[in-house]
Amino acid sequence: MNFVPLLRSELTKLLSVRRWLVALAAMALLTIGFGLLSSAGSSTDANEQASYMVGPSGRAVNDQLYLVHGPVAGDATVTARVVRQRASHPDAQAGLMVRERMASGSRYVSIALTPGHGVRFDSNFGEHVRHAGGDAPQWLRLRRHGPEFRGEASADGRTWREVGHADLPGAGRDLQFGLFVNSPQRLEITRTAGGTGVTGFPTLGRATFAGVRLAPAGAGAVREWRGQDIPPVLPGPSKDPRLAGKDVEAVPPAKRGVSGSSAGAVAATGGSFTLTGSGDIGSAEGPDDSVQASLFGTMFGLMALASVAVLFATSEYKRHLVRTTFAATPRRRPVLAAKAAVLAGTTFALGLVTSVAAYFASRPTIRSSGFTLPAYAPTSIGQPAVLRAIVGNAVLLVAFALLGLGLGVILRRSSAAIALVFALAVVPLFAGAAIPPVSKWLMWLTPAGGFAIERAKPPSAELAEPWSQINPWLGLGIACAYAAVALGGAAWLLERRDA
Amino acid sequence: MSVGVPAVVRAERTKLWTLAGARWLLAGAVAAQVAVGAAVAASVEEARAPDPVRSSLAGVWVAQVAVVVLGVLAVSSEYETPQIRVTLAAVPRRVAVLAAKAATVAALVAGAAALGTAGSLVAGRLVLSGNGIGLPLAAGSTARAAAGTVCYLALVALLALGIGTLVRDAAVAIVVTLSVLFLFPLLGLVVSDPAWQHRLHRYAPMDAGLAVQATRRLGDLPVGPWAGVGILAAYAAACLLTGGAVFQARDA
Repeated sequence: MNFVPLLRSELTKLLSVRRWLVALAAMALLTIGFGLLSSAGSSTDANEQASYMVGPSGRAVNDQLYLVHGPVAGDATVTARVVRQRASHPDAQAGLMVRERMASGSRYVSIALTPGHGVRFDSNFGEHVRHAGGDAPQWLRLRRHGPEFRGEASADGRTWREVGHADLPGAGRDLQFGLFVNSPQRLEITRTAGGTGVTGFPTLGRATFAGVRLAPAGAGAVREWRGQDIPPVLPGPSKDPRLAGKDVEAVPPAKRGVSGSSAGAVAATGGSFTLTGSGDIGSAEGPDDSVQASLFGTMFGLMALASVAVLFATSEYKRHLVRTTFAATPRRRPVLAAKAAVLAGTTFALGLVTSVAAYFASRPTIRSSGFTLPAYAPTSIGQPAVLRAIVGNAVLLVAFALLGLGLGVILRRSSAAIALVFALAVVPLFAGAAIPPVSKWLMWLTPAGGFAIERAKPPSAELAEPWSQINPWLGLGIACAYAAVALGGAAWLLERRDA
Repeated sequence: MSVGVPAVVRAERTKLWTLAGARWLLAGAVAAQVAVGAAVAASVEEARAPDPVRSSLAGVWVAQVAVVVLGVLAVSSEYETPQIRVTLAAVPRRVAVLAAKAATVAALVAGAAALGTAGSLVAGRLVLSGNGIGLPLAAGSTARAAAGTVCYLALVALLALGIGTLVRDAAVAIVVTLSVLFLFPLLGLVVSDPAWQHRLHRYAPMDAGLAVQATRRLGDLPVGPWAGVGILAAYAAACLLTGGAVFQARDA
């Protein structure tokens, strides 16, 4: 028998039960409604509390480092070898930088070695981040050609590979070239039931550079370079003497995003420079995610969807329709495949429309809740991460629907199947929030981790929501794996068991 | 002809006890309560020991799912077959039927919950002593937490029974009950406004009802231990009364 009539008959079954259509409509309304509610409740006063440094695009940034620099005219290449770097923080940087101005928040291009993540190329606070493997000793090179900058790395100083390139459109003839060192705060995160506490401890980076060269010869002179903290450290009590030149384990906690001085230093001996410095360069935006807030209603809509998905399977058994179905189509697996296809298609279409609607409907609320520049960059549906969250949310709904269908066929009782979907999809979220030590494991082991896909920002351990800790694709993959296993089990049992 | 109250209760007990899956659900609730409680207790670190009693009793989060299914099925199963007409033909006083159902479900769930709670405390004590943390079984606060947990599960069963009576369909009733229990505390996670958070934790039936499990830092609770149980009881009573009124008014 052809597959198309099977699809048509399953679609007819799905659309002819009025209660299910009501439940599907309820899913859309609950998703949008609770998305609005959580957007309204997620107010932030980040813009009023902190005094942010503002980067070139108007966003809050951190721009803290110790720079040994000098003016360089026109096209030039600066080369240096990072001989060694203290492992003060996995993201501590030691490398080369070109800046337009010395003031905080200036445009820049940089290439640096990190203790934990190889060579990192970056421009303008995360505009063109590229990573490449490598550890100390490492040769680094930054080349300017007009407005274009290329960052290259080499293990031996002879064979070079490009790590990244970026433009500074309209950059003037004279730019500041230099060596820099920094090291971000070490964050200590304590998870308690229903909340997290974040404390930052400054760390001090230290690295030795050798073989620093500037070409061509007329562009500038390395021997005239001078060291400077960015932002400038004011003389007097704000400079913490304990930070200079030695390991710092427990200095008074500073707030994230507003930590001040890098309090760096430089020592030059025989052509080599040893720099110390602390601080972070990059976006200072908090991890709370306004896209996630818009899509949060999915958890509520999910339950309406799950009941339809389960009943789509179990109602066949309740009314003995399944005997008619299997009399018409004796091969049972194609019937299950048709059911799954119809349910997946319907759920994806409805889920996508609902997610887009929830996103746009909550935008005004999100803005009035305080998610505005400079503390929070605006989101748009064209951004890949936002698109990933919205489309991923629709896929997540499909995964939960198929999980419900599979469990419905396996258990044949709607009450048991629905309770099980709930126990798998929702209970771990709650238990994860309430029992901090197991929250990450619960997200890795249950389909509840799929909610990670609703975030447009990178995973963060700083938030109370347990799913925000894990990788979005991993979370979605786990949810899909559960759906696949449930459907596989259903297909296997369907052939072995009496109808 | 009128049937005496003991006979009605006996009839309801027989129906519930012979309900397909009822014993499995009760056994599952007890097993989940003990196993999850022990697992959570095992994850408690000495340095940050939050509340050993509450951690040991954490299995209630999972156990209540089984309790909800049982509470709903106690009434919805009668509507899946023409059983409800037989029941009402034998006992025309519908309030008596619902009251007998409520008493039976509450007693049965309370029995299972007492077993599960005692088991979790003993298991928690064993697991925690391995980590060098003491759990005082005889303390008054432990007794309050244990009695409160039993009350909590019985009230959750009554809440489910009330919603089941109201909507009659097992699937819908289970979804509605579980959503009422679980989704409001979750909303409290993403809502960052402190005033709203406090309100959600104070008036959400699960958060309020489980406040009784706390044995430390009672001042930090959004609601007093027994006051929280009272809030959950108010939800259960409201659902049962509404369910009863609708049950009384409509055709079977």
